[in-house]
Amino acid sequence: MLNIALIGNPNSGKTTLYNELTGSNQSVGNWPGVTVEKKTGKLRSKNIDANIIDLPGIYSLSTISLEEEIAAHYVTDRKMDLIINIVDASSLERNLFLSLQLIESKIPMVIALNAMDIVEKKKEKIDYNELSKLLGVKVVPISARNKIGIDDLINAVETYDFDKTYEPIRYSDEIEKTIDVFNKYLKDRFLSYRFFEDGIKAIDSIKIDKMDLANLLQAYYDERKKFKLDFDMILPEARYNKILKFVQETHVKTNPLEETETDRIDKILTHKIFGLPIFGLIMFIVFFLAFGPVGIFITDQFGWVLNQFFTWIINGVAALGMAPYISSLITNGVFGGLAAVVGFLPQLAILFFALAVLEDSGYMARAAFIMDRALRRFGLSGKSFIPMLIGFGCSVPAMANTRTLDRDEDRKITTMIIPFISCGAKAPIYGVFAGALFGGGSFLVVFSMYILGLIVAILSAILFKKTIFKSAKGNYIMELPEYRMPTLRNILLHTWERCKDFLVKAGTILLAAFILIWFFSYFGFVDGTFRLLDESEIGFSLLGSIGKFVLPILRPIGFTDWQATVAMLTGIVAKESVVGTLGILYGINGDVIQNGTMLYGAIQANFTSAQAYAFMVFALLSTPCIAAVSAMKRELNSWKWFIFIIAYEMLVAYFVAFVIFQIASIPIGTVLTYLISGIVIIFVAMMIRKYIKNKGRVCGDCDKCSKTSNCSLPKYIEFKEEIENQEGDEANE
Amino acid sequence: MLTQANIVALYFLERLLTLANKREILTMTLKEILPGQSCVVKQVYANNLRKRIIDMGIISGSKVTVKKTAPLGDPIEIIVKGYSLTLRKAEARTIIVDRIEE
Repeated sequence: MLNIALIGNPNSGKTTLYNELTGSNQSVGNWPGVTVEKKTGKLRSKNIDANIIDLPGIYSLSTISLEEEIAAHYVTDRKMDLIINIVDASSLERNLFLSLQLIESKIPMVIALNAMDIVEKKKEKIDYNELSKLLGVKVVPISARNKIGIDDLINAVETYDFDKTYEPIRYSDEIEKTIDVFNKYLKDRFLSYRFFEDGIKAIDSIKIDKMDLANLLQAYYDERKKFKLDFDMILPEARYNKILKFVQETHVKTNPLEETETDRIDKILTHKIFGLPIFGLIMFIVFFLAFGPVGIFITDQFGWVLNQFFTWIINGVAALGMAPYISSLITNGVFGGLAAVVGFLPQLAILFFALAVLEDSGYMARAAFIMDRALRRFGLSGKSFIPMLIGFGCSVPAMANTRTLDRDEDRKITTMIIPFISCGAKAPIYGVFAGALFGGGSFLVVFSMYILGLIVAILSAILFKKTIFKSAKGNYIMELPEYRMPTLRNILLHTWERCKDFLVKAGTILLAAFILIWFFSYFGFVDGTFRLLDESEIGFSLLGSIGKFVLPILRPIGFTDWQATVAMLTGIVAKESVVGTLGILYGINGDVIQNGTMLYGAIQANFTSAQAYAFMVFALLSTPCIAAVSAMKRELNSWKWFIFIIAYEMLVAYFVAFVIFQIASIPIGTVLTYLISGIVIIFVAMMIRKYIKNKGRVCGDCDKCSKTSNCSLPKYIEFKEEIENQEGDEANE
Repeated sequence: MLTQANIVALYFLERLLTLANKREILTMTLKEILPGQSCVVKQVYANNLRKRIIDMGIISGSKVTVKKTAPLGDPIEIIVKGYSLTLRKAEARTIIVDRIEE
């Protein structure tokens, strides 16, 4: 069995090639970082038995993000028998950089020169035979998108001669001598190259004799002095110089500055003035489709079908005549929970579809480009925008998307603030409460919820950045891919895959949780006996007991009856079940989720508007549903962080609801007094802050940098001296 | 001895003078290259993306053309090694370049 790894730059067509080589259907994005986990498939070949492993795209073996590390470690640990290095011919130079690094490893390798159709379209030429000779490994021209050259590539893999090794490209004698020195202690030439480039980071996971290590480090400091250029730039520069030579010999280029189609589109979409409004408009359309009339209509239709299906199941189960607790488990525990999650699918599917169109066309990269400046203030990068946007639909896929972010801090911050963003499942709660108590102003109340969620998310991000993740800057460096026409097949694949992912999670991880919560809500002590309860008896259930127990704690935020508390607790399963539970608890017959107006009377009787608002705020900000909680645990991958964030969310929800309820409960005159004095205090504080900030400002060139001294970024004085010295040297010569 | 502020002021004065003299090759940071202008990279200073910037092709001697700035004024889009790359001004100002006169 042969293990073949697909390695290449992000967005170089790796996943398309993977699909062609294995005959499987993975979706492809025009957005760097579509492959977040490695995928394995069988090579479509009659002659050999081989596994193809699709790894996340990397630009270099020196990595900056978690997903890149997965791919780089695969190479440095030599886990594969053969590498298929996919090289995007339309940006040959940068792609060959990785190829040269891979060649240094001496792992058997075939280069798939992709996007040859684009090269031809541009009337350029690449002499791949010559390139193959220069690199020392076989180069196969392909076009994965048009399915050209795939058989040649498979053939090259089948006939690969594993006995014949190739020689890595030799750089200058100076470099090779240094490599020899490192090799003496590391006893691995490939590792020596890595050590040269990345320093101590490269040998982190390698066991090395203490004596050797000391010698190695000594050698490192000695060798460093020999080079005029910065040590970590020597190898990359040598590689790029080699590449330049290769490319000059093999590649006939057109002028790269000539205006392309992409440039023309970009002139409008990233225009200085129109860029932002267009971006806003596109986002509005996405939202309108998913959550506007179209989305609601489809959701309603789907809900009806779902309802029919579940009624059929429930009737079927009842007809079978099983023990009551078993049929209750099936209808209420398993299917009840699933229905709550699945009913939400249509809106998500629309959201995913729209996002897939944006991704495939290449606009998503521009969205990150446009939004970066705005998000940087919160310690995030432009790339964080996408997971936050998905968060308005559902937190679960949003959290999975954080893996495309470069730094661990960015990922953690984004994951931790996503639950505050009001997801689609919370909408029914607002709908019912606002509709019952705020009448004509209900639209504003609902809107204020979305804004409040966003504000809390942003404030939390700033808080995390200022306290825990002080180094978080939300790094940003990103390639802008060329625009291309999205294909329907790929978009549908993309949408399907994400929906499937969502369903699989809802179906597996959550099932146990649903059953547990079912147990808590359908069993309890009635008149001293522990038994299965009827739906109307939920007040006696274990959950009801917990609700009554925690009620005193929730009193300060406006909870006056245990019904509201229990409803909030069932929100742990899925936020939309809050409304359903209230319906049961207030003894209303009928489907309150489908027809919220039935609840209006009960809510008007039991809540004041201040209480209702506090209730909505608490539902918005408190711990998300169990699906989001498990996704969060997975992304944070640490119990410490997980417990911290859950506690943090509960506290924030409690605090905000408390403040809002208390303020809303006092007379309007008092509120205004406090409000105005608050604004005055904030204003004065800001003025003082501004004064301190401006005082002692040195650089004068940073964009609103708050640092007054100790500027860690390049110092102009040093720059000046450096430049002066160099110019002085040149003048002397 | 010059204070820090004076040195900075001098630096900008010098910049202004060299800008006036258009025939001269200018040493400046990538941040100050205007859209449409090209430059050759001289040196990359320390920042937390340094290695990535180098690996993406911004090395001593690379020709870089600034294409545009984002609508909010930052990041910038550049063309290097024949492809479009976007990076922030914070990183761009750690890259020392020589401006090319067209």
